[in-house]
Amino acid sequence: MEHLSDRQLLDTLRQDAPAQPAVQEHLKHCESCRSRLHDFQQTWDVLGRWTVEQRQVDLTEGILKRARAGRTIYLWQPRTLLRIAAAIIVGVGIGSLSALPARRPISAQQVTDAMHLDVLAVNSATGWAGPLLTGEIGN
Amino acid sequence: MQQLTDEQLVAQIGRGKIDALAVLVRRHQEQALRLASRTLGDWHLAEDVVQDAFLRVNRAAPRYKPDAKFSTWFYRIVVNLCMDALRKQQRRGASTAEPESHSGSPQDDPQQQYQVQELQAAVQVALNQLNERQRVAVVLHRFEGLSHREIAEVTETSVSAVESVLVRAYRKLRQQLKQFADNYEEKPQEKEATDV
Repeated sequence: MEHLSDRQLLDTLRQDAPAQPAVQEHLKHCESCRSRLHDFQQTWDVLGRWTVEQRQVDLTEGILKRARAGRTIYLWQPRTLLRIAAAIIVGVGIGSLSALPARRPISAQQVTDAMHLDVLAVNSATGWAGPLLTGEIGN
Repeated sequence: MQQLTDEQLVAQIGRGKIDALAVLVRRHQEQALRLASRTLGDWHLAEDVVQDAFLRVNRAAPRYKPDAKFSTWFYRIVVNLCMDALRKQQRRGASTAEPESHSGSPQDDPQQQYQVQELQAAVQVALNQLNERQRVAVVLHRFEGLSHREIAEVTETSVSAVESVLVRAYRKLRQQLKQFADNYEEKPQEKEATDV
């Protein structure tokens, strides 16, 4: 016979969730599971005797006050400060980039010279390097 | 405003209507305070947590999509804030929440009052022995009456994870509270004779 799992036993403790018929049937015939359920039930009952002091407080006014002042309060929170810092950094970065002098356009010939592509022309059996050397690509 | 559902109130808050927040607070503060104070074992800390929870609702309201019940969403906020508070306490090395003294009703005789206080303290200590996930799960299960599935939604875990947390938590509590369980069941009026 397969015994009930602890999960099934815990399920039966809640008053508003009656045990499934199969579980109830098993409990009728299984001493071991009844004993385990009894252990859980005892703990459940002891916890039920625990009361917390429920004070009569109304948090509404305090919450509304803080909600209205929210913008001021949140400004000084770390996350907000980080956002402000990030915005400043991005702004300064964009400003510096836009202040750089405009570069003159570089011609294909200048690129070819800088890369010393004329060296390839000697070994180019197909002659495909030719257009590169004469700056025909991209013009 | 009073007739609006929670979800409608949140929508109103999202449009900047502060009166809707007031209605929502009055509707849910008692339950939220009960949950937080049981989880934290400290009334003042619970008040702070609940205030923060409502302020988070206020901030998140413009982005709120009612695909989950408001109560589930709100429970989740309160529980997360409670977990944060518990972790902070643990980091500080403070033992979580001294048991708060609980006074019995005046008509109780001193012996009964003593028993009640002893049990209150024992349960509080036993709950303090649990880790924060176990404690939250037990409070939601035992005192808020949530099903395993609802606890999973609130704590954003799977149902099987919740069940395993609950089983471990109840086993630990059983060990801690065994003496009380046996005494209350067998001889509730004769505890003084058997207890230390």
